[in-house]
Formats: sequence, C-alpha cells, structure tokens
Amino acid sequence: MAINAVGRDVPTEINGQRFKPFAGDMKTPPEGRRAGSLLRMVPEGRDKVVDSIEEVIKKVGLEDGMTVSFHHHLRNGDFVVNMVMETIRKMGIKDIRVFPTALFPVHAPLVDMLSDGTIRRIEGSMNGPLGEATSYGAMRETAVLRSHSGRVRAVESGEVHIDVAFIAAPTADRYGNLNGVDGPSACGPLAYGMVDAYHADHTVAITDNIVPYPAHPISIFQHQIDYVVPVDKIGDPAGIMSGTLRITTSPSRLKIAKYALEVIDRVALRDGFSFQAGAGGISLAVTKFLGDLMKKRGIKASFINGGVTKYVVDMLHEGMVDVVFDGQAFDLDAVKSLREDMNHIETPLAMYGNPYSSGGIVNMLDVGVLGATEVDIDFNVNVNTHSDGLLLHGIGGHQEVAAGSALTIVTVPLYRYRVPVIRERVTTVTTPGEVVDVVVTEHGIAVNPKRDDIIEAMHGSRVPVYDIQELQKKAERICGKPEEPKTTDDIIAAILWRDGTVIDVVYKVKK
Amino acid sequence: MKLRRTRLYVPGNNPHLVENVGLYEADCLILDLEDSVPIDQKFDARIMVKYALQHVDFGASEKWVRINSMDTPFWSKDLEEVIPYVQVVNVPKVESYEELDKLSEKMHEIEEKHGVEPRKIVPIIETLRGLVNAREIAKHERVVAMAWGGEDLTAELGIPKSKALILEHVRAEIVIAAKSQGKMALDTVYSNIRDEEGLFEYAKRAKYMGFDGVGVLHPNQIEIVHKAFKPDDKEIEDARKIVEAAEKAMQEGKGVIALNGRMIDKPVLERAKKILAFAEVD
Repeated sequence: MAINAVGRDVPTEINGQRFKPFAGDMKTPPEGRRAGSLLRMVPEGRDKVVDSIEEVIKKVGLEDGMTVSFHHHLRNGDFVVNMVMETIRKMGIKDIRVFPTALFPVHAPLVDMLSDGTIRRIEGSMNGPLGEATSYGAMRETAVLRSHSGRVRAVESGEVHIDVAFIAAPTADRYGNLNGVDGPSACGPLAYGMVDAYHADHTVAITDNIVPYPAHPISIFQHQIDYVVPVDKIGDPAGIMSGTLRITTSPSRLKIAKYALEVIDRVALRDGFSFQAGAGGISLAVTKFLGDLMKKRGIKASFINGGVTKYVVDMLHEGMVDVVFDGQAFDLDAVKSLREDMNHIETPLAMYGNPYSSGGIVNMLDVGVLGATEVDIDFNVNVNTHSDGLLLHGIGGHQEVAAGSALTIVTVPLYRYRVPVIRERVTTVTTPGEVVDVVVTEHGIAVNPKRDDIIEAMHGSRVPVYDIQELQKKAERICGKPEEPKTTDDIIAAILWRDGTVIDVVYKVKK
Repeated sequence: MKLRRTRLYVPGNNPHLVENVGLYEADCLILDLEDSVPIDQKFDARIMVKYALQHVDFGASEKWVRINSMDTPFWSKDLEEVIPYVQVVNVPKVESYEELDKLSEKMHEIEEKHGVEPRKIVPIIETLRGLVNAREIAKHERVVAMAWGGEDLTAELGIPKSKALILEHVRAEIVIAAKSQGKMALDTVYSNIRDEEGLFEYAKRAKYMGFDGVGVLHPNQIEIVHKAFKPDDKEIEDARKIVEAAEKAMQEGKGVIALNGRMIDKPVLERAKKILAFAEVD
C-alpha cells in the first residue's frame, strides 16, 4: 500500500497486476508502445455471418479466464451483454473477466454469475445492482473502474488485453460494416466500441438489422470485424433512447443551473468558446440556459462536446455552434442529426481525453459542467459511491472533462435527503480537487483558491461566493454531521485516474 | 421601499419545502397554517412553523405566517406561537374592522409579553361582507396591504370561480380600498404553475390594475412575476428624471418641482419613486 497525492492509502498491486499510486494529473509519464491485436488472414468468402452466439463463441475459441468486452451505447435497454454472458455460462466457460464500458440495472442477471464462477471480475462502470452486489463482496476479485478515456488508455497501453469484443450494432452488413444511426435499436454513435474493435484479438458484431453491403454510414469498418451474428433484438428502444429530455422543474436545481450560468458568463462566455454538454438534470438546464443567453448576446460557439440531446442539436441547427462532437446520443433528435448533418461528428473515444495521446477534445474545452455525489473541502469529487459507501455509479468522462476544461464547474445540491453533499472528506476520490475550479450549489458557489481570476470575475455578482469550508459547515448546520459509511478493510474496487494510477479504493460495505 | 411583488405560500406542515425557502428571493414568504394544513396536523404545523421562523434562513424575504381564520378555534394559539418571530400576520376571511381590532388586541398582549415590536397585518378579503367592509378594514393601523381570494366569494354567489365576471370588480374594489388608505394591494395566485406565459400576462395585468404584487404557489413563478412587475426602460428613464428633478429642487430649496417646463406634483413623484423601486434601482 502507498499514500497517493490525494492522501489515500492505495494498493500497488491489484489482481496480481502492478499499479502506481496517483501522483497528480499529468505527473506520471507513459512508458512503452501501443499494444496490438492478433493479425488475421482475410476470411474465405464474402459473408461473415454466423448464426448463433454459441457458434461464434466456439469459432473465436473463448476459454476459461479470458477477457470479453462490451460497449454501453444501448444503456439500460441493452440485451447483448446478458445474451452473450448467459451463453458463456451455459457453455460452462468460467473465470471470465468482463470489460464493459458500463453496465446498467438491466444487467442485474450478471450478479448470479459472480457467484457461480462464470465471472471472476468486472473492470468497468457498474451502475446499480452489480455495483451494489460488488459492494457487499459478491465479486471474487477486485473490480477496476476507469474513466472513458482511462479505459482507452488501458487498452492502447496493453494494461487490459481484450480477447473477444462483442459489439452491439444497430445496423450491420454481412461483411462487418457497422453503424448506430439506423435500425430499430438505433443509438447514435458507436464511439465506445471503436477502441475494442481495433485492439481485440477477435471481434463479433451482434445486430438486429442486417442491410445490403455496404452498410453506410460506417462507424466501425469491416476490416476490424471478424464475425456478424444476427439476433431478434439487441435492445429495447425505450431503454436505449430517452424521450425528449425535459429541463428539471426543481427550483433548487434550476437555481444551481442559473448560478453555474452566471459563472460561465463572467469567466468564459465569448464568441468561439466551447463547452461540454450532458444529459443530467442540472447539466441539461445549463445547456438550455446557455443557449438562450448566447442567442440573446449573439454569441456563437466553436463546438459542443456531447452527451448530445435535442437542446444541443437545436443549437447546431440554429447556427449557434459550428460543430457538435458526439460520443453519446441521448434522444432520437440527436440520432437523426448525427445521420443527416455533416457538422455533427461522431468521435472515436480515443479522441476524447486519453492523456497518453497527442491530445483529445477535452483539451480544447473552455467549459465543463459536471455532477457529483459528494465534494470535499479540498474540492475532491466523488461520483462513484454514495455516502453509505455503496458503489453505484461509473466514472464516465468526469476525470478527463475536469482535467481538460479551462473552466471546470461541479454542480451539486448542498445536501440530498438531509445528507451533506459538501463534506470534510469525500467517501471516494474520483477526481482530484486540483482539476476542479468552481463548486456550485443552490446556496452559493465556492471557487478553488488557486483560481484568483475566477474569484476576481465574480466580484459584483449576485451569486453568493463562499469558502468551501463555509458551504460544508452550512450543510452540516442543516443536516448534522454525516455518518461515516460502515465498511470493512476489504477492498472491493479500485478507482483509477485516467493515466492508470490508483486514485482511491472502495471498501466492502457491512450488511 | 419594501416590495411585496411576490408572496410564496409554503405549507407549514412540510419541512422539506420549508428548509430552502430563503433561496428563491420571494419578497415575502408565507408559512401557511390554514388551508394547506389538515385539521389533525394544526398543532404539529404550528410548532414546526415556530421553529422554522427562528432557524430557517429566510434571506431577504419578509417573514409572514397565514394563521387560521377567526371563526376557527386555532387562530389565537397560532398567534401565541408565531408572534415573537413573525413580521407579518396574514389573516384569512377578514370581514370587519372590529374583527381586526380583536386580533390586534391579542397580538398586543403577546407582543408585550415577549417584548417585541408590533407586528403588521395583511387581511385577506374572501367574502361579500368582507368586500363591503374592505375600505374600513384597510384603515386599521396594523394593515400594510390588502389581499383577496375568490373561492368563498363565488361560492356565496353560487357561480363557478372560473366564469365569475364579478371578480374583476372585486379586484378593482380591493385596489381602491387599499390605495385610498395608502396601503398596498395584492392580487391572488395564478394556480397553473406550469403556464409561464399565462403567469407573466396575469402578473402584468395585475400590475396595470394597480396591484403591487401577486401570490405565488411555486418558487419557479417568482422570477416571472418580478419580470412582469419590472417597469420598461422608458418608464424607468422618465421616473429617474422626475426623482432627479425633485432632488435638485430640494437642494436648491425650491418648493416647486419642474421638469421640461411641467410642474411635477406629489403623486407623480411618488409614482416615479415606486417605479424605480420596482426596477430595483436605488
């Protein structure tokens, strides 16, 4: 164990693999070369279609102990993870390392596979029941959580080698060209799956919409796909796409969004600026209000990085932004726009925020507005665990957006259900305070003392500006001192910083 | 000048809604002990409101409590708990000056006991008898503003509130009663909390009817009403000129205020001051 740069005691070995402690953002230089996948011979014939998942698993030679990967563009509507894992279980293959970009409540059937020996560990975001089961000790080995870009880095560096990538494809042709913008299970981009297609030893597209060759547009190209498996349905559209997302009506959330807007206005709003959009309640409100303000002032943004929703698409089509970069689409307006508008660009995740690359989109962001489950008086942010210690969320792009944006704003209520959100010490550090500039609550904001320029810019504002300690005390005055989570000394998950160093661990929760 | 453009009703029996009330910048916050509190929760709500008045941050909002009406057994107990901590007592279904005198006497007794300043009253006119006596009621020294409600009144007339043409007359009568005594007139709530445009138009209409504010049921209505009550740029500019001319006249010791060759009399100056207050200009 070693004490890292945010004062957390972290292991130097996880699941038999060596890891360095977090030393600060951009403080651990990369070593070595990019990792590769198996070279393969061009297949015979003009058809890569295999009739069943079982048959394809036999063809790729999946064995005990191997690693399988999935992307999460189908979100809580995904059928692919469950159908592949259930087939693996039935075939008696054991000790699989599951390497998804993220899992959702719909993937709860995997909980049983943690105990029957099918899965030895999951390395990826676990939203909901799998995270909860893991918190209580259901996983044999230690879970490893990485950010979107941290996952790309792990694959490119060889930290994780994927044996078989199973890629859900809303549209495919019989020779393996894939896209996400057409078909009954359309999800928009296939950005999360691109790195897997490039680096996995074997790649399998699973689709419910085979179209004549060549499928187009093409998100993942045929030379990276070994097999195509048609199934009845890869997902439930209701869980894949939201309907039109509505702006929150909660007055306190709207207050937070308005305060965040004023910070953006005073610090970063100018012609040609750029920002990260999201689909969370406050984030959506900020996007909407920002759009209204830009319209009023006649300001045009250079690009929006999304998390794309109708609100972002409307801005693109009203000429308020030149380009939308799309790694994830949340509604059908976003899917339609990606299909039809050449200024709406699908971006591979490798272009997002990998610190061991020649630079990602996040490095060009002026403003990033992010959420959190907790924030502490050192501006450290937790997005993974709740105050009871349960691991219930993934990292998403939080780390790289915070690290890359010129102005990083974390929006949180001062407390939730009478539990303080601003605390002396977060339960888990996901993102270090060194990359967070402003914390915005409904009671007022706190500016990281290292950002004198922002403190200066907020002079004369009606937004109350506090020291973060004052906000923390305010929360405690209203809610009382929060209880510490009841945990054991067993580590159930490691949280990696985007460069692969260990920023924190999650402990087993006592039942 | 104290503005009362918005008064937000907050149920007195719901701690979750009470705890953040100060954040929304309503001019007045009404912790309600009357209609939003069921009879079996009157005691609990009264105690909760008492503690909320002491410990919840109301920001710059004026602290009001709507007590139960004087034809119930609750009103005097309500006063006993809230008078030491409240600024304005909002009294429903007031029908006569005498009634307010009785209320005032009880308030005085409690104020003396606790050594606090006299509290203000905003009566709500909700009955035909109250309406007939509105001009007398407005004369009471504790009354700072008059409000009204149409439910009971239209029930008395046996007509549906949504179609009651008489309510326009009631509105006018409330404005006349209040303003003739130099008191504020406050319009009732706009109950469709999702209809932002409708609320804006409603508040604008109230403003040009002579009201100084409207009631609000949801924090999201506050900003919209404040916008509606904000004078336009020309109104502000004209008002600023009048006030500046008055200040100049005072400095020069002139008894007459003149602007562009026109005499400015007192009501015009007062209106100008009010416009600047509503524009949130010092």
